[in-house]
Amino acid sequence: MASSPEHIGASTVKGDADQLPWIVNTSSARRWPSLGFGQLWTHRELVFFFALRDLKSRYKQALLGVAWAGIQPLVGALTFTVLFNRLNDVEIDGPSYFAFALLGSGVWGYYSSTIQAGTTSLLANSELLTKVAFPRIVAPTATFVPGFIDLAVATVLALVVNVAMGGGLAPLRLLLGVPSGVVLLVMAVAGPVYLFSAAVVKYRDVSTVVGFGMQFMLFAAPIAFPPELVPGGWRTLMYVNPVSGAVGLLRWALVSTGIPTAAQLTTSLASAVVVLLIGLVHFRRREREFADII
Amino acid sequence: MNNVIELDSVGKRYRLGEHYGEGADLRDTLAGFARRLRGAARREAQEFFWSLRDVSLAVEGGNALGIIGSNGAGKSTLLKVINGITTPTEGTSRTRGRVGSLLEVGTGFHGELTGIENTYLNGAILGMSKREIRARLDEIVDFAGLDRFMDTPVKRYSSGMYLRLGFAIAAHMEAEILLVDEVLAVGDVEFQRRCLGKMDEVERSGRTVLFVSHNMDAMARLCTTTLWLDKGQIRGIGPTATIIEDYIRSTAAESTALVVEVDPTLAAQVVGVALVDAYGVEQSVLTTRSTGWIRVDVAVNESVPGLDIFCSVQTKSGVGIIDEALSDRIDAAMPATGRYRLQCELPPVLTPGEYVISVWLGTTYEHLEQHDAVVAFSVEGDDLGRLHRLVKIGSNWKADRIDEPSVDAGGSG
Repeated sequence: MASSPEHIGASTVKGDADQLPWIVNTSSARRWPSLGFGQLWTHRELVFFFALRDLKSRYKQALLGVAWAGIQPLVGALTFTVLFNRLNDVEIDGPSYFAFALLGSGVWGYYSSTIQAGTTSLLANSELLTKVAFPRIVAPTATFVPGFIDLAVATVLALVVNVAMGGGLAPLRLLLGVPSGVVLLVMAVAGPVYLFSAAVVKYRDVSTVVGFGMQFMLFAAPIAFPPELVPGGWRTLMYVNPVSGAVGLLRWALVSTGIPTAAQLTTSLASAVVVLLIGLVHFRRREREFADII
Repeated sequence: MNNVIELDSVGKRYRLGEHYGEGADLRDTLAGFARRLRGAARREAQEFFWSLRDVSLAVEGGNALGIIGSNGAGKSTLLKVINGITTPTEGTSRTRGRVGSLLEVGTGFHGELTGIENTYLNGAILGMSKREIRARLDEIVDFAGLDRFMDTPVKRYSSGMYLRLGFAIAAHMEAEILLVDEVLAVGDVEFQRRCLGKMDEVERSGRTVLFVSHNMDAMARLCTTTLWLDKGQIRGIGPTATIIEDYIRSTAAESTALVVEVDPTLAAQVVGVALVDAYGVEQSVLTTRSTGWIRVDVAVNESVPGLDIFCSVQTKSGVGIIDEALSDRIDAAMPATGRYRLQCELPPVLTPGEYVISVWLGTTYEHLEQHDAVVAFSVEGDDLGRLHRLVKIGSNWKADRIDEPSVDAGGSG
């Protein structure tokens, strides 16, 4: 019926809104949406506040508080060391299996807890999603941050143990290996998080499957044991999961083991980039309907 | 050329029934597949509901536009499309400038965080920068009146404090367009007064307000123009007084009672409204001397703490005469799930004329349902020739002589 626009109001007040650009909300979806990096940058403060909220609520009313950040990797590392080093005589090329396992446990803790928290990040904010028009991509992105506390604690512990066992410090390795390892690790979680968080809005089972998947993935990556334990052809395949490349780089920098080969690192990097692109495109295509179906 | 909102044939469609999409989980999908194998209800999942259809609209900056319509007319969907929360199924909505909303005050608060922390978090969610929030923090705290509690986790706040802080944050956001949805239905009188004041201020400063409400008096006061939505379409648009009158006349069909089917997905709902006499018999006519009762049946499907109803009576031109809350007299009248019959006395105060009954259901912090002008009735009898009053109170009188009593009081002069 009303196909010609109804016009409201006399042009008496001239607001300063005239100079502002139009924000368009339209039915026609773009087949190839932008990846949302611009949105993330302009809303970086919101990412920070979401992360801060999750961090603060995690440690409030917990007796041991932040101490948990150290206990978890210690227990994990102890298990790995007993299982592989003591009972099965697995050896590494660094001075301390325990330091090696500590780092692995810390990296794995970050990887699995971030992917699981990220997968449910939209569900956890479902009330906001249906009531406020904030950029959707902020919610999963914010889950990358809190795990860094635990990772940092595990990293420092591993470094200390390694030095105490005669590993020594290599500043150049630290300078190169830590940043590149961390970047690869974040890319390794980002792709799955964007993919799964969007999927779980429609199919809740995805989060259960992710939980199962994590248990299996732990033994499909060189986390508890060195990559040399796996025979040649399979070894490269392990690096398709970018967490393998990330943990390799971090161990090289911190616990004096050898650096992964160029082929292994390339495999990890390429796989991380591809999954990240798929995840982002999927997320950006689906986000238009989040508020309607969550 | 200074429009700040433009809607171009906007439509929004929702799926009915399996409203999570083709299948919410694997079991649903399989069940649907099995049904299709049996050849039954093939098109069941294809039932759609247009919450908005072909809505075109242009709003110039600096105006206050009221939006009225019955439950499910698409008012909230319209605001959600303008706000960008949901994407239209058809057409395009454009806005210019920041869109603020008093839709969901306090959404996104986290119980473990303190008042200050939540202020920053909530401000950021609404689109304010850290610097902006810091600059306004004192004002916000002042406005909320929560000086001493800003370092306390909000889970220790009373619901009133929670609401005040949420409103203070939303109200201090500089937005070119402000959306207001039913806030006047919640909170205490002081809170409602502040909402109205804020909207006035925003409008006077040359910004734009969209105001959804069932409070016709407030709408008439704030908005020069009002839009009437009916089943997702624009039914009318024009001067507020005219639209309100048309709206009430149309909703007050000659119905003397409202009966609604139970919808188990609603937490609580009004399932029946009728006007009855002292013997419980439904009536459409009262006399100026008889007491009536507004009888409201409510189905509580999930327990809602603090559930309350308001019964109001308006003239057919929308002037509010009576507005009574259940909670004024009975605390926690509907504590558990079940069906309740609530009756509000209508003393013989109305003057002869035509009236409508409206019912509101909700809690102090949540608006659930509003049924505008669902029951019409008339009052007959004579009002002793006094045409210029809305109610007859039957006030008591006192008569005292206050000068010196003279000896012959009855004497002629």
